[in-house]
Amino acid sequence: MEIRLNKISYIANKKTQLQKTILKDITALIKNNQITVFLGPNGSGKTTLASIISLLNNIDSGNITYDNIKINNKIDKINLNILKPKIGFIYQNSCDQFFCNTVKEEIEFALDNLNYHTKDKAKRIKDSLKLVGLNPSYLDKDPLKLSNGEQKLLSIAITLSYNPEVIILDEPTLELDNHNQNKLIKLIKLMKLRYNKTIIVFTKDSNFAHQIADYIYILNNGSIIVKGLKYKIFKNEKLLKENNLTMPDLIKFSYLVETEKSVKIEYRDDINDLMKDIYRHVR
Amino acid sequence: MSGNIMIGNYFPAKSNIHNMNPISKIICTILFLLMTIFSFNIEVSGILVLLVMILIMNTSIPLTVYYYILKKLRYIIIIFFVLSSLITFSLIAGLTVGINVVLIILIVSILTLTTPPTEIVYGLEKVLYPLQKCNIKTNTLALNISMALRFIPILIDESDKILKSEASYGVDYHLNIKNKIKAIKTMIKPAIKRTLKKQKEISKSMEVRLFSIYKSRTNYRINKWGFFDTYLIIVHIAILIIIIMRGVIT
Amino acid sequence: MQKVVEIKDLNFSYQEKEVFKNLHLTMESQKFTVVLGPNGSGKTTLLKLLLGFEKGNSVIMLDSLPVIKENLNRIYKEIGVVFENQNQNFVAETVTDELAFPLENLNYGKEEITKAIDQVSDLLNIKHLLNEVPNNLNAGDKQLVALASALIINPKILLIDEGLNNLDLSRKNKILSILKKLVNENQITIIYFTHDSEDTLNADNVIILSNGKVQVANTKEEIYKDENNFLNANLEPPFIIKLSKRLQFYDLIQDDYLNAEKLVNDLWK
Repeated sequence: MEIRLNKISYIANKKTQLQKTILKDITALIKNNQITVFLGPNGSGKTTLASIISLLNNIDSGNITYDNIKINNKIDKINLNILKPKIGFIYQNSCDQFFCNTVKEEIEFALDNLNYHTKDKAKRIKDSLKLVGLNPSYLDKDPLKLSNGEQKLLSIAITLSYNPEVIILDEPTLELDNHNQNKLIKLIKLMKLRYNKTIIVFTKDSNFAHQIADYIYILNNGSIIVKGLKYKIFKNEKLLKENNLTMPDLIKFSYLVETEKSVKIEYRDDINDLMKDIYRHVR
Repeated sequence: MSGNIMIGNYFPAKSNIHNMNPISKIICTILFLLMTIFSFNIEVSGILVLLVMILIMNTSIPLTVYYYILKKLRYIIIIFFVLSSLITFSLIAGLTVGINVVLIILIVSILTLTTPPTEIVYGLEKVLYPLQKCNIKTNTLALNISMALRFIPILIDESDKILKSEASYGVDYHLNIKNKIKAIKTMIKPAIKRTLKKQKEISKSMEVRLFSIYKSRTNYRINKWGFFDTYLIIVHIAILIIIIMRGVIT
Repeated sequence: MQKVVEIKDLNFSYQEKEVFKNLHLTMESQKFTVVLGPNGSGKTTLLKLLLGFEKGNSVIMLDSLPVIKENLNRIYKEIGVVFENQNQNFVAETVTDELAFPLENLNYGKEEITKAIDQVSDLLNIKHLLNEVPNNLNAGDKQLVALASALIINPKILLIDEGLNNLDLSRKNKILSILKKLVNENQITIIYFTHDSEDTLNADNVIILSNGKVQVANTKEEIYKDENNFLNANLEPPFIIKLSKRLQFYDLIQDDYLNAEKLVNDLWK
């Protein structure tokens, strides 16, 4: 699915003293079967934009086109009904998402209400868990009592169960340790390459963005600051600093070598490749 | 999450009423509630409506906030109106009751919108002090009442979160009646469960931050007693007396 | 070495699941200790035990006081806690009141409270937030307010449970250096629970927790010497250490480096 954002604006607490413009004229293109990353510091409007694209929040002005369905600031019940099963949203705080007594019920709720028809519901539920690496023993557990990492994985399992075309993740790495982050990265790549999904990630973690992004939009203070391919964005120290973002570790190293020592070593995605470059240059 | 306007939530602003001492605000609220009890006819309700509007003007809080609160509670108002019209066979009586319910909602909202919860506890403690003579633990009582006041916004917050989550799974509360019922049915139990859990966490974290109902504490922002405080209490007492007298005479 | 935390032979189960068995743990006083562990390793449970929210089978000593109900009041006067995001609970309607809250509970006078609020909001650079509603702040600012409210009572021990994750890295590093300064100059103890190995770069001591056991506990320099300390706990060492190890393997450098600039300088002398 291709999603076009056209001049989206969102104002919180309109017409009161607490009124605040959260998003201003957001325009972006989310290409089909790509991983688009919205990179932005704390407070830039990421979560609001994420919930808007996921149809959980209304827009104040502008419109979003999902393939050929257009959503604007008027509540369009018919189209919302059509689009909801096609979009999956992974919350920043996983525990905000769960409200059933067991893991099984959580997944069942999604399948039932998004009209996902399958002959063997139980198998579908078990398979969704298997996809994220959770074994069937989790079926009877209380979602709120799982560890952070497990909750995040469950969140993804629920979303995958009804096979949406688009998956939107809001700061997915915050609660996750290295091991689970790597698991997540593999899952995201799997969803793109094998399951042909369109993926949108909202994050402030440059290292994470570096590993998965096909295209990056920098979001700050409610506006799109710049857009581009990975290296163009991550090599721009000034740009990152102005927007309270950091350079990914691997890129930072090569950048330091280039700026401090005027030696050009390659910009790499993998620490082992970087190692080889350093070795070649130093010896 | 981001500044939800709802019943029980403080709305920061600078106004005559915001600056009042919480004790006088609570006294006025109690007096007003007594007035609504004694108002049996629509003319008296009319006077109270005027009074509440003057108070609202003095809160510097936009009318949309009050409108929004009433809108959220419209079903309660409608139910009271319909039931009392049927019971008394009189539309006017029903209307009076309906207006009184609106008044009660508004006066409690004015209190909670202009008074932070910590001040409400403080005010309640002082107002309930005479009850100590009757051997009632006023500290605990005040704390319990303020916890109850806090329960509502927490409950609404958690309910909202759950409704939103349900919406992402296709059960959209706003869609139609069928969905509304389904959404609320599924939401009630976890909402209450989560609210109770949150309340427990809050009291634990308050303990860690050294809060104790048994010890006296400073009140950093409590305002002194001002002209407006005395003035408003006198006005309330006066109107209450007038209402009671009218009731006695007619 | 003065021990600020002493745990001996602790067993603790939570809902039929064994979290700790025969746990032995000590932490040094007046140091910055990072307790590092993957998701689900028992970090938050450990914090709860230290705060007396839960009780195991043996008594924990916190700053030489047994963590039992009778002592909790005394203990809470000496500690400040910054809880994890989801468990953050603000009690007041303005940041000023939120900061004043613990001091009000200690019966400080109004002027003392004003002074303390000034000091801590200067220290953490949150003066511009003083009139805001805490619950309306973005996630990072909330963490700063929580931290300020813990520091305002001048605690001897500061406990932080993943409490700085939402801050942008540059701000987080500024705050961490402020905290380190407090350890060095004011002699407070900081215990920082996290799943992010990068946080160990700021520590004095590191305790790696995994599956309810202490994998290893030592100074950070000692811990960095063997990558397996991290790998065995399903964690990765900080990036700069990973790089240092590989460069050492190829004989390009001798030691572990904690600073990228220094490493680059020494490689291309």
